[in-house]
Amino acid sequence: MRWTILPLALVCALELGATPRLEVEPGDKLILTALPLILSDAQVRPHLTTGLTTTFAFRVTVLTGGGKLVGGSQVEIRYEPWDEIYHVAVMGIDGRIERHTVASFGDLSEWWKTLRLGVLDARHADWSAASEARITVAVVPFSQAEGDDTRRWFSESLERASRSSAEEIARSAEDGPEPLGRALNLLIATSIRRRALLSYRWTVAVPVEPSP
Amino acid sequence: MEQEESKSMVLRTVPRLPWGGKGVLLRGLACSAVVAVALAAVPATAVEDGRPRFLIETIAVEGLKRASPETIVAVSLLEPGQRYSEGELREAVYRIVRLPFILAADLALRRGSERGKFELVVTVEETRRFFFGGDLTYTRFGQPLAFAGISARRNSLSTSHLAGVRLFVGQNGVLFAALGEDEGGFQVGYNQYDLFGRRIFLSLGYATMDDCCSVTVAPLGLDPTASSWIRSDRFERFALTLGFPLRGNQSLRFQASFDESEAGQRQAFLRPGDAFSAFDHRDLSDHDLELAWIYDSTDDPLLPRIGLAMSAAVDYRTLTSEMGRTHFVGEEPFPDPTPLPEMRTELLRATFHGNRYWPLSDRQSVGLGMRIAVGRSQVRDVAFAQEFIRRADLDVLEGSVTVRHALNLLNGPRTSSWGELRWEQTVEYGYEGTSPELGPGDRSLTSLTISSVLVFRNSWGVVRIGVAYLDVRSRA
Repeated sequence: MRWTILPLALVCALELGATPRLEVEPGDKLILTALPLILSDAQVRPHLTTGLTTTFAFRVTVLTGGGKLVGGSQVEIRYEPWDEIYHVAVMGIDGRIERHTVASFGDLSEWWKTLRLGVLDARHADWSAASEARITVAVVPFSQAEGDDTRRWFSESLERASRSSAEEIARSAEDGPEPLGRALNLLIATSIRRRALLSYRWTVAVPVEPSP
Repeated sequence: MEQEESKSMVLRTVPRLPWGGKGVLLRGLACSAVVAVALAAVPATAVEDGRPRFLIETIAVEGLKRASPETIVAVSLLEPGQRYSEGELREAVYRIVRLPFILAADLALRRGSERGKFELVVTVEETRRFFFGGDLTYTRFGQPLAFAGISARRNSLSTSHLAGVRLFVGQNGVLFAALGEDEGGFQVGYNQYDLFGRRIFLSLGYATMDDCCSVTVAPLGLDPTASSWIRSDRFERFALTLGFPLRGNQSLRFQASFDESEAGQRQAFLRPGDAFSAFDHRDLSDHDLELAWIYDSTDDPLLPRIGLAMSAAVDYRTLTSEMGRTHFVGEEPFPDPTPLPEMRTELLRATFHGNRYWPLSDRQSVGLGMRIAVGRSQVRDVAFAQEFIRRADLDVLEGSVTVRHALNLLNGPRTSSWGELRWEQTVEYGYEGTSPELGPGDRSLTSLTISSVLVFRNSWGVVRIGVAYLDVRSRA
C-alpha cells in the first residue's frame, strides 16, 4: 500500500510545483489556466470531503509600467455525501456563476486542470507595458472562513488593555505583580491556534498578444 | 431554521399510483421503481437562494479527552432535527473554538439514517493539561532610575516564569493553579463559561507571594509622587471578572481586583540616591473596580495581525497605606518608629483605548495604537520628599501613542503543529500629568519605550525574550 502511495505523492508534488499560465483572449480578457493541482495537497483535500463548501479565491495583480491592474475569480467546491458527487460553482469577473456537478475526485482533478478562469477584463489597458503578474489563491476551508472574530470576546474579558504610562514603565523594567493576569493570559495563549489559511502564489509572465 | 421535512412524504405518494390492483409482485416492483426514480430526482440537500440547508439528524463529537461532549453540543447551540445553513454551522464552530480549552474545531457531514438527513461530526482538539510561560527582558534606561531600591540603575534584567495545570470541573468549568518565580508565587483560579446558558464568562482568582520583591508603579493620578512600590513581604491578590457578550464583536466587562501587601518600601524612581524620597509602608491596599465596553475584531488576542480593538472604560481605584520615613545606614533601609498618618488616594478615571492592525504581507503586519484617559483624583496625607500634603484634588490626563511592527519568522499550516515564532518591534510615547501642581517635584511624566521582542508560542505556552530602551523624563 505504501509503495502505491509514494508515486502518487510524487506526482502530486510535481503537479504542485507547476506554474499556472495567463492567456489574453480577444477582447483583452485575461484568462488564468493550467492551474496546479492544489486540490490534491494534503492540507486541502480533507476539506473537500467534509460535505461543506471550500472556497478558492484567486487574485491576479498585473504589474504594468506605471501601475498595476488587479482582478480575480472564485471557485467553490462542495461534496454531497448522499450522491457522492461534487457541486462546483465558478464566479467570474462578469459576476456570472457557472454551476457544475462532477462525479468523482478524479473527474474533479481533470476539470480543475482544464479550468479557464476569466480574471481580468482590461479593454483599455496597455498590455505591452505589462511586465509580470502575481497570482495568489487563498484556500478558505469552511471552518476557517473570514469573519471568525466572534470567538474573541471572552479573552478581552481577561486582559486589561489600558494601563497608564507609569504602569507600563514598571512592567517593562521590573517584574510587576501581575501573576494572576499572567496565568489567565497563558490559559488564552495556549488555547488559540492561529488561523491556518492556506495560500499559494506564483509570479508569471503576461502574454502581450491574444492567444491564437 | 426549519422543522424537518421528512422524506416519508415522498414515499406516501406511491400507493396512489393509477395502475394498482394487478398483483402484489407487479405492484411491489412498480412501487420500488417509482421510489428509486423519485429519490434520484430529489436533491439530497435542500437549497434556498442557491445555498444548501442541511437537515441535521444527529450530532457526534470526536477528539475529546477531558471535556464532555454535552458541553460541546450545548455551546454549539445546534439541535438535532433542525435544518441549518453553512453560515449557521460556521457560527456554531466559532462558538466551540471560542472555548479556551479547545485548540481547533472542524465540522463534517456524514450520511444519516435516510437520504437527505446528515450526521454532523464535530472534531475538536483540546488544549494541553499543563501550561508554561517565561519572560526574559533586558532594559536599558535613558537616565538612572531607582526602581528596586534607593540606588540608581542604568539597566535591568527581569526574568519570570510560571508553570501551571488546568482541570475540568463539571460542565464548562476550568480550575487552574500555577507556581511561579523562585520566591514562591502561587495562584489558583476558576473560570466558568456559558454561565446560566447565557454565554456569560466568570473568572475568580487568588494569587499570593510570600517573599521579596515585586515592584509596581501606580498611575500618577493615584500616586503623584511617581514612586516604585517594592513589596518586601506577603502579597495577596483577589480578582473577579465578569464578561457579557453583546452583539457581534462587542462585550461588556466588569472587573474587580483587591491587592494587599503587608510591608515594603516606596521610592521616587526619578530621584535615585535621595534618601528623603524613600519611605517605609505597611498594610498597602490597592483596590480597583472597572466597567468597560469592548469592541474587538482582531484575529488574535495576544499576537494580532489584522483588525481593530477598542475599549471605553470607567474605573475607580483607591490606594491606602500606613507610612513611615525610612532612615538609611549606607544602603540599608531602617523604618522610622514614628508613623505618619495613613495615606489615601482615590482616582476616578475614564479611558478610551484603540489599536488597529494592518497586514503588510503574509508574514508582516503593522499596528497603530492610542490611549487617552481623563480623571479626577483626591490625595490625602501623602508624604513626598520633605513635604507633607494634607489634601489635594487633582485633574488627571494620560495619553500614549504606540507603533508596532511584527514579522512572523515561523508560522503557517505546516509549522503550526509545533509552534510559531514572531519578532515584534514597538515604539511607544506616553504622557501623564496632574494639575494643579503639588509643590516641588515631578508633576508630569513623559516616557519613550523602544522594544524588540522574540515571542515563541505553542499549545504548551509562551516564551518572550527581548531588549528594551526606556527613557522617562519629568517636567518639574
